[in-house]
Amino acid sequence: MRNIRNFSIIAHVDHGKSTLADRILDVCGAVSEREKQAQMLDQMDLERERGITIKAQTVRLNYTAKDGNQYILNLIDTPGHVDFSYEVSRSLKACEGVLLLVDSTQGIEAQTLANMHLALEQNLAVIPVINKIDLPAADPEMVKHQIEDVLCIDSSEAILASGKSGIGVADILEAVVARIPPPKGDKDAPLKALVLDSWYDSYRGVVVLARIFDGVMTPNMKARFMGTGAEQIIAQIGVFTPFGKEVQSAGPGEVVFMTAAIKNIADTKVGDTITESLKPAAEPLPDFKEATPMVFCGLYPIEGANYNALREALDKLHLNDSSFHYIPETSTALGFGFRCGFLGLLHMEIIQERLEREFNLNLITTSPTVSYRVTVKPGDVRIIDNPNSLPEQYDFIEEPLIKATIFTPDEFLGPIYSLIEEKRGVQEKLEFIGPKRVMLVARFPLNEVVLDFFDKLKTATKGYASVDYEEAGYQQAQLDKLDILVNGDPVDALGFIVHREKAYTFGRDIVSKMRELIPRQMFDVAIQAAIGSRVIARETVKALRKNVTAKCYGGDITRKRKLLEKQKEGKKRMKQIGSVEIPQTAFLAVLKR
Amino acid sequence: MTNASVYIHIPFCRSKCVYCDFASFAGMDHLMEPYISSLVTEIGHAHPMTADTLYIGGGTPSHLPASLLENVMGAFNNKFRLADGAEMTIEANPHSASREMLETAKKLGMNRLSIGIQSFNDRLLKTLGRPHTANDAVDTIAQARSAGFANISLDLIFGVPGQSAADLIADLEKAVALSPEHLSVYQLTLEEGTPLEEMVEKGKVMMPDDDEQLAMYESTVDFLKKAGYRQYEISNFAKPGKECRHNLAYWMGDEFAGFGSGAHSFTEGVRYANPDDPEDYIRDVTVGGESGVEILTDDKDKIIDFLLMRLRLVDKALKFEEINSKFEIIFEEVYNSALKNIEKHGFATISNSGFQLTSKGLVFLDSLLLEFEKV
Ligand SMILES: Nc1nc2c(ncn2[C@@H]2O[C@H](COP(=O)(O)OP(=O)(O)OP(=O)(O)O)[C@@H](O)[C@H]2O)c(=O)[nH]1
Ligand code: SF4
Ligand SMILES: [Mg+2]
Repeated sequence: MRNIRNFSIIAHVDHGKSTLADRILDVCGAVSEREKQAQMLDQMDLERERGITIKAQTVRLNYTAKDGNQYILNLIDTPGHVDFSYEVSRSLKACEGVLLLVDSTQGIEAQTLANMHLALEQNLAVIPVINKIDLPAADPEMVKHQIEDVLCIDSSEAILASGKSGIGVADILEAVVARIPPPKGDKDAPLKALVLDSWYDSYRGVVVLARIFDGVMTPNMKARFMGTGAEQIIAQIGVFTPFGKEVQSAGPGEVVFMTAAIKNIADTKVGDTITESLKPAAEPLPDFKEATPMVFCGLYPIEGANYNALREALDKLHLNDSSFHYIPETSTALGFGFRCGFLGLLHMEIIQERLEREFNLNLITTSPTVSYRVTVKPGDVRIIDNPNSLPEQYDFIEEPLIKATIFTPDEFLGPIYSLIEEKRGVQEKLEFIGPKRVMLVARFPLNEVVLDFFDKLKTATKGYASVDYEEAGYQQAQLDKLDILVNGDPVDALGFIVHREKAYTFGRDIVSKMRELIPRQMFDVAIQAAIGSRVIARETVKALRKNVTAKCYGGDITRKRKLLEKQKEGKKRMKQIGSVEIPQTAFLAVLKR
Repeated sequence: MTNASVYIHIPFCRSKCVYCDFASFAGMDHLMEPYISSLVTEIGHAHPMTADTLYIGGGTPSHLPASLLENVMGAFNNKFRLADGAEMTIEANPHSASREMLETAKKLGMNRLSIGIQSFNDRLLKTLGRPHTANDAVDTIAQARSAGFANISLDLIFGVPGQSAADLIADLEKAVALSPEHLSVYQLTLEEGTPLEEMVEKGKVMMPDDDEQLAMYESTVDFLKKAGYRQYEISNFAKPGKECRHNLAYWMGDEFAGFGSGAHSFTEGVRYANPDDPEDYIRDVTVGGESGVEILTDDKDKIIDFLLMRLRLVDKALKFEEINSKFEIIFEEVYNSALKNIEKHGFATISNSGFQLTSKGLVFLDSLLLEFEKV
């Protein structure tokens, strides 16, 4: 155990975590030349395509240090995007230390700070690494100052490195061995292993990744999940090197995967403690703090018949990402589906894409919304995460707030102030963290952020700003339910809760977009945006005048047939709202915005 | 099949018109001879039958040298007996139809001539990429009359970029003044991949909008009615008794035999299609004496196929009995919801014995078919 080191690589997005992990794998000789790939640990296609890490990945390495001793390193590469910070905090549970990377051309960004706080909360050893120093624009001195000023860490502890060229990697590994403490734990105590992650494998069933704190785990042992109460004989245990490799036993400090004949997905839960049935631990390890979803939407199969497939897919995917929530709901426009909660917009997008790719589904998502707190009358307070559940009568409504920490070059302060105003934000703090860089803290209604805040911030700062945010309570607000009606029938998938001042523009915008996308039908179609019975915007799709093929070509019926098939194909993607047919694409376009 | 309707396709044209996406080819005249001998072979392999109608279409049949037309007719006459009063149509285009050609056609027994006029306006003919002028057209009609054709049909097109409502009326007036027995007036359709489509996309010319097109259609129907031509199909008008019997066979869902590239056949409830490309066709026939593949259609689609042709006919109620005996169903029950739906919106009138599209329904036929598809 003295020779084990468990650590995560944490940083802001794109600061080079996965690339540095590649070099560490190299130094430890984990993969052969033939197997080598850039960002080796980003295994999902989606990660490779987007060039971002979505899932934390664990790998066990053998390292011979300068002192001549052999060490086992359990390295976890974590994602940097704010939406996946839940992955980071889970990973840290398995570690005694972290490598905190800072891109030497960017300096400290929002998630640098946020992730460091996560590490400090768990009392982990922090090794700062100033990365990408191979780049001509690298400014390690600037970063050192920031490390002192913003992170309050002695900058002499920082290691200069490049995950690309390999500079400093040897120093990093020596520092890991010297500065990160070995795990503690009692080999002879009853087994206690924390479930860090799990996923569904079509051959082996549920696979669980766990960090052992006490005791020893072996195949054929009868294991108990203390939270769910499920019991199973362990079939296999193993480690990732990064390729899966079976082992015969594992003790305290080790991170292993485990398979058993787990058929029921509900038997496993991330954060649960595994113990030995015959010799159970008295107390489970502390569970993870549940992730609180911030963004909600409806998720529906485009082909209604796929509802069950969607349910199954959600169950399986949830094994691998317990941070999203889902409960069944129905919509007249979209049929049977689920109301889902996510940690952010990217998270929502990624889950949708994973469902579509990994489970071969075609999905439609309704417009992202947040959860409002509605006081119907004193003593009757409801949380509303679907605009259509808003009661008609209520005392008052409160919207969720976030506290956003924005790091930006000071030259963009002007545009940021305008954006804060536009988004109903309130500035709380402004701090210079270097001659030309500022950290700005502001409170925003979350619904404004969900709309298009990140896009607008990116435009306003040419992509130079970074943001981190956390929940910050609720505030009372002037909000209205906005309905979209098609020939008088409300479209339930297009219900919105909007701020009173913005309702008009918002309604106009949607209605005119719908008008573009609804094809002409055999009668006029009126599209209206209404608050209660008050119509605030209206457009008409004029009726089709004529739809008949002019000429039939002799006996050749195939042309007409093709035309008809094309129309029919189009129809398949239509949803009937009252007597009007609305193409799926119209929903998508309006809902995407 | 008792009596047959026979179609023979001649895929050659002098030049390609900008809107055309038929199985027709310009600059392939060197294939005429092998093509005609393949036609002769294919016809030679057909079952002998009595022909009620013959239609030689294209392409431009009048573009063929007279001698090759004689070969085709030789093969036809060897195989098919002509019914009494058989209708025998050949298509011609102005300019390509020489006096000799017209006389040969007449001599070979052709008794109906369909001439692709499209417009009597030289500016519009140019837009359409037609290789002839309005004068050529008038000439050809005169020649045809003097060659002895007593049954002449003219094709016109409306909805041409740059065509005004007045232009259309002028075309109709000129056509009617020549008193053809039959008129086909088609709305110009923008076909994928044609030069016209490209011109429209590049903004060089503009198609009339829906409202203008509908107005043109309505004024055509109106004008020709007053001039004594009855609209018997969406785009077809005839003096009493001069409806095209060959085309009626298609619309009624009767069977027919087609020969040549791109030709389709419908025998014993099954449809066959020959390849569009003349070279493929020639190869098929050279190798196997025949050409064509079956078009697979399920029973439901067969009903739709029937409807999509049959409902094009104007003022000709579709009797349930007619469709029920063809497909062995009870149409009025199986398709009850679709019928009710289109009646509700005023697109059809339904009686105990059958139903009929209203004039409003007729111009929405393609949309209405989808209602039947839903069943
Ligand atoms: N020049 C240079 N480029 C680097 C270095 N490290 C990473 N990069 C580049 O920076 C980009 C991001 O690298 P990643 O390793 O994917 O960054 P990450 O921190 O894992 O990103 P996320 O997982 O999305 O948070 C890639 O284009 C890398 O090639 C480095 O040391 N030098
Ligand atoms: S003459 Fe007729 S078939 Fe030939 S190219 Fe012109 S439109 Fe097409
Ligand atoms: Mg990464």
